[in-house]
Amino acid sequence: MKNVIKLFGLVICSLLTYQVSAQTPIFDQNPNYRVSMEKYMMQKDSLLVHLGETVQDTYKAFDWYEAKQERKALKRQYRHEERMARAKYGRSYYSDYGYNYNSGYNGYYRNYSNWNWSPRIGFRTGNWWFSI
Amino acid sequence: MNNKKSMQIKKIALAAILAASGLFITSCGRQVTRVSTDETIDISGRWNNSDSREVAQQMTRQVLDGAWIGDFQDDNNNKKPVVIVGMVYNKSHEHIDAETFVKDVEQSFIQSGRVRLVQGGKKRDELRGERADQQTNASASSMKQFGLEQGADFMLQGSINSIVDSHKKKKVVYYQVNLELTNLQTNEVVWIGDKKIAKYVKN
Repeated sequence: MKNVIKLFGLVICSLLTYQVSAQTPIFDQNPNYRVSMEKYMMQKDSLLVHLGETVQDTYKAFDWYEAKQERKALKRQYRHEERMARAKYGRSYYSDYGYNYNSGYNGYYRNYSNWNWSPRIGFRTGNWWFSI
Repeated sequence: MNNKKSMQIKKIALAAILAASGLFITSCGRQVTRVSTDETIDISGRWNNSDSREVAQQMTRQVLDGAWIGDFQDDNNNKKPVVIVGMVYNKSHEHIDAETFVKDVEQSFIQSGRVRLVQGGKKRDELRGERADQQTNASASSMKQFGLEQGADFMLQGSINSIVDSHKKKKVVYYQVNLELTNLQTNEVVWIGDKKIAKYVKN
């Protein structure tokens, strides 16, 4: 029993001395410095990833001339695509085929879907349309 | 004789075409001319380097002439005030990077030797990361300790506001830049600096 108590005392003493040596007190040091240290020890790798590098945090400045050139290029590309599509689907190709079900794949029928169209003559009252 | 004359005319015409094309090519190419950073060149009417320079000059003058430095030193045994730079809110209608003039103010603090500056934001995080790295990698004699940073006495914050008044092809743009220093202990605002810029733009 005495030996066990001695051993326990030794362990406690060694732990205390380790604690004291680990926390060498420095004048004016923040008593809570360990909180910060532990926090930064956890994230130091991610914080130091860009050490010695130039982090590019840029933005696109408005340049009137460049914007004009970009607009021109876009228009040119659009025209080219339209020309290609016209060559593929025929002269009466409409670029808004995504919204128009009549101008899809089958170019043969699409021009004839409105063959019986005529102007509607009448008057509207609220949601009701009265044809004459 | 006639043939010789026509040959001469052809040669002159060719030389003229070559000279004209040369002139055309050189006029189409991009020309870059270095200018002084103190020169004011207004092109679009938007925020530019001259505005930033004017703000920096005025703020630097105002902040160093302010009574806050003397007041702080009187209350703290002649200790120099320590400043940390906080956020600058851009509430204007344009992209404006406040760092271009805030850095000038920071530089003036250091160069004057009357105000001390501490690092903040991402740069401070990077410094702490390096300090954490030293805890396990640097020699004991060169390792830097946690908990010994210089605490700031004041925080520098700011805002950028703008008012645009336009009609047809005319426009008046007004910018107001404010920087303010607040005591971190008491929340007391000890200094407010301002710079107002108005521009009349006609298209």
